[in-house]
Amino acid sequence: MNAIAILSIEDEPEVREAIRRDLRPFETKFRIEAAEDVADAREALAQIEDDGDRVGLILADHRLPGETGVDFLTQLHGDGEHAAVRKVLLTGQADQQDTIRAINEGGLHHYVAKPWQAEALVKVVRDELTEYVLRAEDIDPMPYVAVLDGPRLLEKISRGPRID
Amino acid sequence: MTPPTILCAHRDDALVSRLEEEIDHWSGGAFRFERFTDGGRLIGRARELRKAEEDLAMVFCGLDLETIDGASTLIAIREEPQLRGTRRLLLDAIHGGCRADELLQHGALHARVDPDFDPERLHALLRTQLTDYVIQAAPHRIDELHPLLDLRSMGSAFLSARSNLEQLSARLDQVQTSVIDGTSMSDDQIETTMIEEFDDLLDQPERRTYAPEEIMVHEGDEAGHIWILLEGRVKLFRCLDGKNVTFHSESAGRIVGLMSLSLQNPVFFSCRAVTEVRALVLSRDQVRDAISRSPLLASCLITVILRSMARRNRRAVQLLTKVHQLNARLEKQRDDLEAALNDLQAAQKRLIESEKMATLGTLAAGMAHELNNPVAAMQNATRYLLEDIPGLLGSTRDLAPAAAALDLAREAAPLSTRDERSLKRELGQSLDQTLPADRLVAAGIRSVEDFRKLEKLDPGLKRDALLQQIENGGQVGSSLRNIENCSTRIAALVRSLKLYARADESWTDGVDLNATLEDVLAILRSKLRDHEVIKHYGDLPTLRGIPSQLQQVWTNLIQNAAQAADENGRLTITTTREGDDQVRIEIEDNGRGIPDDAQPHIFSPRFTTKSGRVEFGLGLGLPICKTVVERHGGRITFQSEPGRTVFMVVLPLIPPKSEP
Repeated sequence: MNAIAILSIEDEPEVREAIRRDLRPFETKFRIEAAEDVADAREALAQIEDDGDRVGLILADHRLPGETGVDFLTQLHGDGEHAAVRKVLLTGQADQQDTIRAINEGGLHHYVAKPWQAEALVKVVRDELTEYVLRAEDIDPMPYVAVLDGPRLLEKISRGPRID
Repeated sequence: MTPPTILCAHRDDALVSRLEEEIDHWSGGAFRFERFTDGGRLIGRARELRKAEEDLAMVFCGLDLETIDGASTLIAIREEPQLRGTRRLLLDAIHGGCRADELLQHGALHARVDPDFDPERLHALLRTQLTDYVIQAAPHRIDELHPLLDLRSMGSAFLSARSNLEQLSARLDQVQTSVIDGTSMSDDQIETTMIEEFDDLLDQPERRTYAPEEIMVHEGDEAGHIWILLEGRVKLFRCLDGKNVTFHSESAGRIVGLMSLSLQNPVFFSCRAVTEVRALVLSRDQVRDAISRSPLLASCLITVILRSMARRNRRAVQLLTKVHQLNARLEKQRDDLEAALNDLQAAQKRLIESEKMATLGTLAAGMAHELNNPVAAMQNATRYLLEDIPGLLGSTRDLAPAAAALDLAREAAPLSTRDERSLKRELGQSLDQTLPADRLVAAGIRSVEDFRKLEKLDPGLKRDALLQQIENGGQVGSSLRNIENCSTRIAALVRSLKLYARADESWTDGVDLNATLEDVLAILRSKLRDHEVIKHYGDLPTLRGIPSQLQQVWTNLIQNAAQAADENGRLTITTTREGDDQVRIEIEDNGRGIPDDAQPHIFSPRFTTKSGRVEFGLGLGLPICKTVVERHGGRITFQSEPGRTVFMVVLPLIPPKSEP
């Protein structure tokens, strides 16, 4: 099926539901999964990959029971397979030290402070997913033109497949 | 034995020959007679004789001589210590300016022989002088010379010598006793004796006067003198690290320089006059000479050295003891300072802590006050919405699926993300491929049956429209549920804040603690469903307190224990009476324990949106417990290790300062 998945990690059910709702514009083209802590996120990640899908974007809270979101992003960034995954921190609690570490070691692409505005979150997710699709060699951008940043994707399509 | 010698220096050869002739005649050639015209030569010859240990009985000098005149020659002879007995005679007439007065003053002259002498009178003079000589310096010649001596004066001289000898031996005895038994002679007596002896032996040696503060001798100088203090006081000091440190003032003694001199070391202490000081100053040679001639003096010096050593030794021990005491005191002071510093740091920490708590208290009170009304309004509004929206949807049959979806979503038990994923999978497999399982789950559908039920409510409805109703209705339902949950949480937080900040409840007498615990257990029954609760209630006296606040403490402690203990955990609640005026409550669980690094902080407030739910719920809960317990004049402590955590609360029956 080869769908691209969005994985959010958030321990509070109400907040999780709010994120899920904000991600509705993407639900037709993307698989949306949620995890309540880092251990669960690993499980979800494994399941997504077992299904033949891949994770394009991770939306992680920082303070979680057990390992922190920054820990997880850092680990993921370093494991070689998930370097391309777009990584967004959605948190109200990361201090400066955590944030610096997330950028330097976790390959963080974006930081969204809680509480957030739905439009802002949607824009961040759209931009990051567009970036993911553009950078991936093996993804046809065509199906995503309507949901993501259409003009940028079309530009890539018009240039044709890259020949390295 | 060589005959005794007589030396004569004079320019008048004839006169000298006459004199030699008369002496020969009188003595029968008992003397060796040598003549000079040069005073210097005579002195040289006298010294030769002294070195050869020959007897020089008399020296005759004229006033006018070559190189050194007669007066100076006689004075020089007098200065030779070994020639003290030698008779010094002037062979000249006396005239104005002839220095005879000077000679007499110096004690350099024993008698004068006129150049125009009468032989009879010369013989008499020679007899007297020779007798004095023999008595003083040559008793061994008595046998040989006795025909020439004045036996009567010899006799009286011997008598007085014997009595002197007896006196001397008595004094020696005394000195010997005093050396052995140092008490028989006082320091003053010894000093007086020494001064007398030195004066006697050295013919009144030099006295010197020092002004107050004047340095008499400097440390490191070569030891060449001793000082016998006649008047005034001194102190002895050394320079240590650039500072003059006094070692002896009372213990300095009356004789200075003796130790260095006797040890032949450089001067060890500098000596400074404290008052005006008058002292007898003696050179090493003078001391040596005096000692060699006076056993009494030697004994005195030994006594002085012994006493001075003893005195200084005692002083040294005193100083050492003092140093030791000072060291001990310093060490104690250092320890005290360190302890004081620690206390101060602890006090400062407590102060900062209590300041922080006070600030937090004010902040919390303000926040609680400000949040109270909006939260209450929000809870009411949510309740109205929960009535009005279903009412609205129920007013038309067309929206029946949406209304049902709303109800479903409202009531849906929250799923873990893990369960949610497997549910999606399950629905995806059993439902029509065209139906998006994940959207249905998000809308609150929990089973295929749920969906079928909604579908049947309006069988004519198209798939898309049905899906739309389910999603919208479900969203409204879950949103309402979330608002309800969240506002309830905020309300609880506000209540906690109020409790933490300041109680508005009143103090009550006769509070039954076991009853407050039972109330709490009743409220928490559903949460403790999966736990075993063991109760050991002691027979407790009632106490004065604020029941609702105490209940809050038990609620927090029991909730924490239940959360820590996981499912099927065991909680043990024990109450006991402690002494006459205290009760003790222990709440124990067999859970995983509090991590070591968290233990020091568990009573500090941490504001977090996950308050009450992070790890094992250490948000405001424990700080509130501490505040309430302390308000009741009690204390709360805990012990925690994996498998056993106990919180212990000890409360006085009457709080020390409870407000009415």
